[in-house]
Amino acid sequence: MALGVYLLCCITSLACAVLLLRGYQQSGVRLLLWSGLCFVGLALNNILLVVDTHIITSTDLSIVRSVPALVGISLLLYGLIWEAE
Amino acid sequence: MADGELSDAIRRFIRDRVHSVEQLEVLLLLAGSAPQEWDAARVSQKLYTQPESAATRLADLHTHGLLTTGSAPGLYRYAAPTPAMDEVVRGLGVAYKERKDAVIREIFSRPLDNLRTFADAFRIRRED
Amino acid sequence: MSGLLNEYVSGALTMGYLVAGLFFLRFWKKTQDRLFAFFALAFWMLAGQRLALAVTTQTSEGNLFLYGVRLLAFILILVAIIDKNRQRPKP
Repeated sequence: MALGVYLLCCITSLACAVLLLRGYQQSGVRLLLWSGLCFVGLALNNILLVVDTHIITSTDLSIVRSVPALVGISLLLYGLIWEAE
Repeated sequence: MADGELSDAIRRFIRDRVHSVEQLEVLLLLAGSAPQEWDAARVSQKLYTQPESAATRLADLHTHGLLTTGSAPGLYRYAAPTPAMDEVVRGLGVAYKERKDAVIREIFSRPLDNLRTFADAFRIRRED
Repeated sequence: MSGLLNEYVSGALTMGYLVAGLFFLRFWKKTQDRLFAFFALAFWMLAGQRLALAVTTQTSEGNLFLYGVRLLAFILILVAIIDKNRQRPKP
């Protein structure tokens, strides 16, 4: 059950990343690059969540798995502030 | 037009091709004086703008297919791609004289390009 | 040390999601495109989930509920994408 939840989060963020990066490739609008990278970070965060809870259960990876999300959201904010208009 | 509403064709034209009031004024200047040819220096004199910025507007309008290059490099002439488009530009010229505020409001309410590109990135199938 | 760092990162993430959500809200007002409204809601749910993770004592059932909130946030993004693909393209 939990695994399914994590996997769906993962697939959704990957889909967003792919669509946004594809859009960036076609339009060259950098807002799409930053937000695409943000979703790459969120996808990584979700993948690490699965690893942490289902594969490497012995050590707590909560910081390691939050870092991609934090980097991702920082890139998104950079894009939203500098490239949105 | 009498009730202050711009026609759908004019609104669509503004949304797709008009990025600024200055660009609109350049377009209307060339459209109103066709088939006269203009370069950036004369446009900037006439409209009291910077020559560099007038050159950018002319190049922009040229990429949008509303101007053709003239008899010498740097010269442009108004040339709407279709008679229907020409009619919209004429209508826009009249609207800009009579309902300047409505036209300017329409230009500024134009959704930002980058945001539209962002939203459109999520279309999985492309129409074009 | 690691506990403190964890809380620091968690707080930064909460704020990041909140601010990103605000941006999307503004884009929605500007463009009238529902996609941005869905995104704003989704990012606020992610912020809410982070906040809830921080203030609740963690039990496995509680955790599952909170990950349900996270799931809902991502489902909202999916809904936004599906909704976008059902809209008639503007002329």
